[in-house]
Amino acid sequence: MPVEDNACIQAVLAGDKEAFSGIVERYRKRAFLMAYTIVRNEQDAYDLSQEAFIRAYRNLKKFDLDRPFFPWFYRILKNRCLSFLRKRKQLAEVSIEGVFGLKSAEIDLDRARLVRECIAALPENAREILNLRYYQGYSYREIADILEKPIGSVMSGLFYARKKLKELLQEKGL
Amino acid sequence: MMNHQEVQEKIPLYVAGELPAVEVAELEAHLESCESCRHELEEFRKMEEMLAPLRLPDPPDELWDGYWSGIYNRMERRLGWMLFSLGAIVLLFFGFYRLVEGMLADPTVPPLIKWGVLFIGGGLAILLVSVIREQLFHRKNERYREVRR
Ligand SMILES: [Zn+2]
Repeated sequence: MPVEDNACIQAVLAGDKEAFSGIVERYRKRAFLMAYTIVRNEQDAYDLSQEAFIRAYRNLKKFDLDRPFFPWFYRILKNRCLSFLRKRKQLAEVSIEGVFGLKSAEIDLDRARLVRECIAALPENAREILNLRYYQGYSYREIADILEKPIGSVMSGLFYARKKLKELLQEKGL
Repeated sequence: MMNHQEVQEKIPLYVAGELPAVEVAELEAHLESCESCRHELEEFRKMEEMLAPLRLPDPPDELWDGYWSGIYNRMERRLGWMLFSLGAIVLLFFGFYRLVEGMLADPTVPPLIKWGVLFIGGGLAILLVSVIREQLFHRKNERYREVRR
């Protein structure tokens, strides 16, 4: 993980609040997209990702400087998003017609919607891996780093997720 | 030697070009001789095709206008809010106290009722402050929405 992260964090801990903007700029896109894949709503993803940064800032003293920043931050963000959904007592809304106001005309929206519904119906662990890989396009190595798991366990998790997904897709006739 | 399960778990790494060269050779040798793992590779490719359209586009750059300042303001604001809330609660409570002062001084009113009235006053003060804060907070959020259109 980038050396600059540590430099930023040390500056923030030394009292330079502005230095936190380095961290925010580096990870805001990832944070937003991650929140978006969990809560399925732009406005909420925007707010929740900001809140996660604020929470990280407030807990920065507890952060272990020998470890990478992003996986730590990811746990904060994920917990924030999941508790948001629990409070709302609503599962991730899956019927999005394209995102960010862009309509992807080329893809068959009905089919894509069915696939999204099937992914949303998977258990949390399986859904998380598929989200990271297919919604957000991380490499398997990056996924292992983010989840702080050995790559072997990511691959077996993915294998299981794929089998489950295939069953669901077949039920829907895809 | 890799068994079928291992090969099938490694197929995604192979397809993505993330498998170390030594393992690529081993995996290809296995595929050559194993019908069911070749089938699995085919299935995997089909699934990847189906999942490819899910990839989220990059959000537009305007999304980040005000993103950092929104965070920074809230980082700064916490102490401000705490002082504001505390001050407002004290003032409201004091105002309420003055309002019911006469009743509190009246020796014919039982102490239990006096305490009850004071707690109601304190509760109202806290509720009022929290509602005011919530209103201010929501107005701020709506401003983001306009910026992002
Ligand atoms: Zn085989």
